[in-house]
This record gives sequence, structure tokens and C-alpha cells, in this order.
Amino acid sequence: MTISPRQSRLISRRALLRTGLAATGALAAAPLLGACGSGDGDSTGGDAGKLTLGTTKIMQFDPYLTNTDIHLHAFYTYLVDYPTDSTYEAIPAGAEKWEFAADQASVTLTLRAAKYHSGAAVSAADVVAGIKRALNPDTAFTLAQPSAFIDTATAVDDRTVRVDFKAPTPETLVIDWMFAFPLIPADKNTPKQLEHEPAGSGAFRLGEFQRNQRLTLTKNPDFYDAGKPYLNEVEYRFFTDEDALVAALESGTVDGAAYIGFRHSERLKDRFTLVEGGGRMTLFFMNATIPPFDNKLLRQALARAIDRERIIKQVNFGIGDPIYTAFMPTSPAFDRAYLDSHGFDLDAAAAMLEKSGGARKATAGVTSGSPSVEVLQIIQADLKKIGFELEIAPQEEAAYLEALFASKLQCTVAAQPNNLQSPSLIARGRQMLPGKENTTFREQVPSAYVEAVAAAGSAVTPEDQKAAYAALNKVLAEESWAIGISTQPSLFALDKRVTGLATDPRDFVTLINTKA
Amino acid sequence: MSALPAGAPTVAPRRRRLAAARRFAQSRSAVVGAVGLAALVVMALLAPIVAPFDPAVQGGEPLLGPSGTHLLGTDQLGRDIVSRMIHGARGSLLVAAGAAAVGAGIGVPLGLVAGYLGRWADAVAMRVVDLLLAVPGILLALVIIAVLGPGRLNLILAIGIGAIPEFARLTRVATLEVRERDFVLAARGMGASTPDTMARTVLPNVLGPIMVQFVITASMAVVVEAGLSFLGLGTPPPAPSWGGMLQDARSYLYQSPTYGLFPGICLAATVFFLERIGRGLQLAVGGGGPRAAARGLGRGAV
Repeated sequence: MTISPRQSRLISRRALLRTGLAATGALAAAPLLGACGSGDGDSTGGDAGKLTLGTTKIMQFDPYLTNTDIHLHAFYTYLVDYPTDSTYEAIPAGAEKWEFAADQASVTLTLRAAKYHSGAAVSAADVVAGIKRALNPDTAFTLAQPSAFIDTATAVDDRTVRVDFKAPTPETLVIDWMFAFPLIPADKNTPKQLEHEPAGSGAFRLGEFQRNQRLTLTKNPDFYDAGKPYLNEVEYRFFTDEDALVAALESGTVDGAAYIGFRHSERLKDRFTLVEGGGRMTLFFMNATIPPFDNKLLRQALARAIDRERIIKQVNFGIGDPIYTAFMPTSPAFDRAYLDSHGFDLDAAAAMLEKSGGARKATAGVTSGSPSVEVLQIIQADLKKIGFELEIAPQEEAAYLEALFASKLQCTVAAQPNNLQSPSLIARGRQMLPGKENTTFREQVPSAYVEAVAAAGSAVTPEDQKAAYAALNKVLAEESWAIGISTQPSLFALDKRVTGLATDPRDFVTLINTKA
Repeated sequence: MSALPAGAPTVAPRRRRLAAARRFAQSRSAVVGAVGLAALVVMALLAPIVAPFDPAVQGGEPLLGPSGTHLLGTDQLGRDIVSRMIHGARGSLLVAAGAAAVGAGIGVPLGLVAGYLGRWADAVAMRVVDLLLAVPGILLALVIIAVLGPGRLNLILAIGIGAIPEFARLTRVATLEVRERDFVLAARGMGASTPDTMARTVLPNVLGPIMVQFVITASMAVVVEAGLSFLGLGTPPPAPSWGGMLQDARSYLYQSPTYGLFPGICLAATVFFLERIGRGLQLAVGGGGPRAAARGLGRGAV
């Protein structure tokens, strides 16, 4: 059979078309098949005892150097736990009991008979070594301030530790410290040792860690709480983009998405279980060391121009509660009255602005692409109405943090951790609220604030505490450099088969009661 | 500096420019580009009159869909999307023109000096250009924004500095060709100084490809500005920018699917118009591309 040149061209076109279609089909099918495979096998969404959580957060393993890593509670046992319902009724954990001296000048801890992941027994010497490290701000910046009341720690026997205080100390502050204090073997309790590998006695052991890719936790069969955790394995998968994380949840690639933005809540609420964690607080900070915010009256004026209700509605999608000073509504120092007496009132703000005689222009630094940009835009629009021009200068995160720590930002919106049941913990950390060398006052932190923090940390009787917390709120309102906006709960979206996932008051995920 | 003697052949004959304009006008797609860009420019200039609302006023309910009051709906802070889109044109076009002007303003003199003087001036200028070329444009822009901070002027500088090498190399090549032409030799022979010869004899004869490059750079600048705004490092809020609107729209894609559609269309249309104009100019001044256009114009000038 002969083929004409025209037929030859047609055949070759058909062949080309076939090949093209086949290639296109293969290209289209590959990811679909991959996704199917991922959904059935890799994610193991239906496997009993395994949970896959997606996150955009970077992780490390040293609990002395972070208070924002979601996985830490899985590796470490702390001296006590708090319930996940935002109350502060201490639950025995690493310490099975504790007894305060009558003069409130010491506490004696009895440790639970427990084992580290290495198989070694938890001992009093580990606690003493841990306290020694915690008292050094250079090696334990998240624990240094909460541990500052401690004078000495002594191992009475293998399972008993006596902790002596510098002065009589309120029980609440000591319990908050116990909640923050992890049990770590003394020989491994260094930043270098814990940089790449955890060394705890928590419910899960480290399985595998590939930085920026995945972290696998396996059940600790020697965990002190017999029968728990329920999960055999937990896998964290890292995503660089929040939308990709949510898409992975919707496609079934992960069983849950951790710490997602509020904007996803409306869309996901019917198909997934949404869990709100304790979260943090959002505050508007003004730098009192540089103009124009070295003018206290100006700071007080701007503090009245923050429309919390609108910010919660439009930026937080209705999630969270308004706050005025840096205390959560669950804090004993939270005073709702300030939201009325010092709340959003543009007329009052305008009058105070006029009285301040200060400049009418400032620049706010912020990390580009963060929800704080929208918060600042709402504040900016309101300030414009009263004749104050607030420029917003979004920056890349590293540049923003450098400027923040160098005290170069005039103002910003930033998050603060929960101060638990001890208002004096407001001064922990290294940023805008410490009692000395903070980024908003440098070395000129108002003495009234330093004294109020000290008083709040040493008031033992309920009456003294009430007075101390009131004084602390008063100085915060008077100095007006850290203005509370709202609580910022963490948000998790979980497959409906996942139950029992919650966060503790410091916003760490607790997986002990989680089932999947 | 001595003035150029009368009668020196300084520019291309008027009829050649008219012929180039005719060729441009004969290209239908170039005319579409020019008309489209003109419409965008007019819209940008008349934005305060044309836009139904102040683009910064947070007056409506957030994330409303299209309606009679808000033709394309509102954004996450209750601002009118149409108004922000119209005002966004100002930022995009200003940055595009400004960046191309910065690139041309520095790159053309650099290339002119390198090409005309040669020797050490050429070597120094080209090493500077090599240095700039060694860093990818978007990375250079990111670094400059990180150092200078966000803002339209800084955006113009960041994108414009990245465009210098193209202008410099293009001008140098065109100058190398033109500097040996008889009319340049004649100008020098008649006593014109070096700066005068470069400015009044050489430069007008290499302007064709520079114009093409200017349009290409402007279209590139529109995209880079949108990219930087998309990353949150472009035009600071509340000033609208198409890239910034796309970034916001991406976050609210499910709540308001139409939000990002129109800024995206505007962006694509602007780049399309500029690209068509650039192509039309290429054909008009010699065809084939900027360098070929340079050769063509050089021949035409004699």
C-alpha cells in the first residue's frame, strides 16, 4: 500500500497529536495519582494511632530558648501541667506533689518516678542543674525571668528537691514557674546538646527530623501516664505557605493544619473541626525613646484611637477578645474597666492629641504580609480622622526584627505571650516589656513600672495581690507604651476523626489525649 | 564647551522620522497598544475624578461582592475595589516610567561615554555594568528596598538601578557604530567638542533603540513593582497598587473570588500594551530588535 505525501503528513500529525495527548494525559495524571497515593498511604489519615499535622512553624528542641514551638510539650514533661480550658488548676506531672513552707520562702518538690527517653531515671540532680541553667539569661532567656525569684535549689534525695526563694513568693508565681520548667537530664541540658535532639521524658520520642520538611514523633512506652498517649505516631509536615497548608488539609494530605490564619475559619468550619488554642495577645507598641512617642500625652492620645471591636471583626474574623493592658482575660490582673475608661473614643483622642502639642506624624514598622499590616491600616484610618498621619512601612521579617531589637521602630503591632496567672511575668523576654533595657524605653524604663512588676511578683496575700495588680495596670495605662488590642487565639483545623487535640495556656500543643 | 557649527548634520532627516511614525501607525497591534496605554494614562491622571470613592476610605462592609454601589465589591477593610484599581494605575505607571527614566538616565550616558571614548572609560564603565549584571534584577531590587525601605521613590530607584546595564550596553553598541560615521567625523572636523559631539550628534542618532528599550524596561518595571508589592515590599499601605491588591486578594480568594480578577487583568493589559508599543517601535526604527534598529538608524542618518 502506498502512502501519498499528504497522507504521510496527516499520519504524522495524528501521531504527533496522539503523542501529545498521551504526554499531556500522563502529566495531568501523575500529580493526581500522586495525590491519591498520598491520601491513601502516606497521610494515613484513616490509620488508627497516627496523626499527620501540617505547620508553617520552624522548630527547635531547646525549651529554654523558645516559647513558641508547638511540639515541645510532646517531648518534655514539665513539673506541672495546666488544664487546656484556660484555667490554672495545677495538675501533677513531673512533680507528683509539692509543699510550700509556711513562710512562702521555699517549696519542696517530690518528683514522680519516671524515665527519660534514654532509659535513665529522672532525678533531683537534673532539676537542680536545670534551675542553675534557668537562672542564666544568656542560656535560658525564656526561663530566666520566671525563675528570677529562686535563690538556691538543693537535691534532698533522688526524688526530692528543695527550692529556696530570695523572698516570700506568691504560690501562683511558683506554680507558673513549675509549669514552665522542663525535666531534662543534667548531662544533656546545654544549648548545644538540645539544638538538634530533644532529651525529655514526655509522651513522645523523636522519630525523625528533617529540617523544613518533616518531624516524626513516636509513642513513649515508658510515659508516666500509663496507657497514654493514644497515638502511636505523630508526623509534622512543614509548609512554607499557609495557603498550601490549608490546601493540603482539604486534599487529605494532612489530618490537621496547625496555627492557621483566622481568614480560613469561615470556609473550613463545616468540613473540619476547628480548635481555638489559648494563643497570645496583640499589642500596639510605641517607642518612648524616640520622637514623637517620647511625649507621654501623645502616647495616651493614640491609645484612645484603637478600634478593638472593628479589628476583631475584620482582621480576626470575630475570633478573640479585646484587652487593654498586656493581660489575657483569664489573668488575675485583667481589668475590663479599662476597656471602658480608656477604650476607643476618637473625640477623646483628638482632644488629647491637641493637648499633647506633639508631632502629628509617625511611622509604624511591621513584617510585610502579616495580619498586623491590616491592624495598622485600621488604626491608620482612624488616626487620619483626628489629624495624625501614621505611615506604615512593611519590612522583610529579618529587617523588621533587627530594627525592633535595635529600638529603631517608632511604633509597631506585635504579639506577646500569655502571662499565665502571674502578672509579673509581663516583664519576661527581651522585647518591649522587660523591666530593664527593653526596646521601648532602653535604660529609662519608668521606675514606677519596675516597682509595680516587683510588687506584683512578691505580693503573697490576696489583698496585696489585688493592690499590686491594680498598681501595675495603672502604670501601664499612665505610661501608655504597650496598648492591648485583642487576644489572638491559635487556630487549628482538624479532620473530624481527630479528637482530643488542645493547647495549654502557653499555646503548646498537647497530644496526650489525642486520637485519630 | 564650543557650540556645534552651523550646518553640521546632527539629527536624522525629518522625513525618516515621519516614515518611522508611518510604519508605527501601520502596525495595528502597536496602535492598539498605544491607544490602550493612553487610556490607562488618562484614567490614572483623572483618577480623583473618575474613581467613585476615595481609595483609602474604609467606608463599606468588608469583602462585599459586586453591586450597584461598589461595582467590583469591597476589599477586606471595606474599601471600594474599583477606586483602588483606578488609583493603582497611577502607582504602576509612575513606577514604570520612573524606573525606565532612572535606568535610561544613568545607563545611556554611561554607554555613550563608554562607546564614544573607548579605552579606559569603556573598560571602567563596562566593569560597573558587569557588576550590576552579576546580581539578578529582582534580588537587587529586594536588597535595595531592604536597605532604603518601602516607598514609591525607593521602588523607582530599586527597579531603575537594575535596568542600567541594558541601557548602557545598548547605547554603547549603538555608539560604537555611529561614532565612525561621516557626519560624526564631520562634526568633529568642524571643531565640535567631545561632549557636544556626544550630546548633539551621536545621541540623537542612537535614540531609536533607546526608545524601544525604554518601553521594554517600563513593561518589566510594571511586573517587578507588582511582584514587590505582592511580597508586601512595594507601595506602602494604604496607597493602592495592583500587586498589593493581588496579594490581598490571594488571602481572601474563597471569600471574594472576583477581588483579584480585575487588578490582574489591569496588570496583564498594561504589560500587553507596552509590549505591543515596544514591538511597533522596533519595526518603526529599523526592525528586528533594538540592536538591529540601532544599525538601521545609523545607516539612515548618513
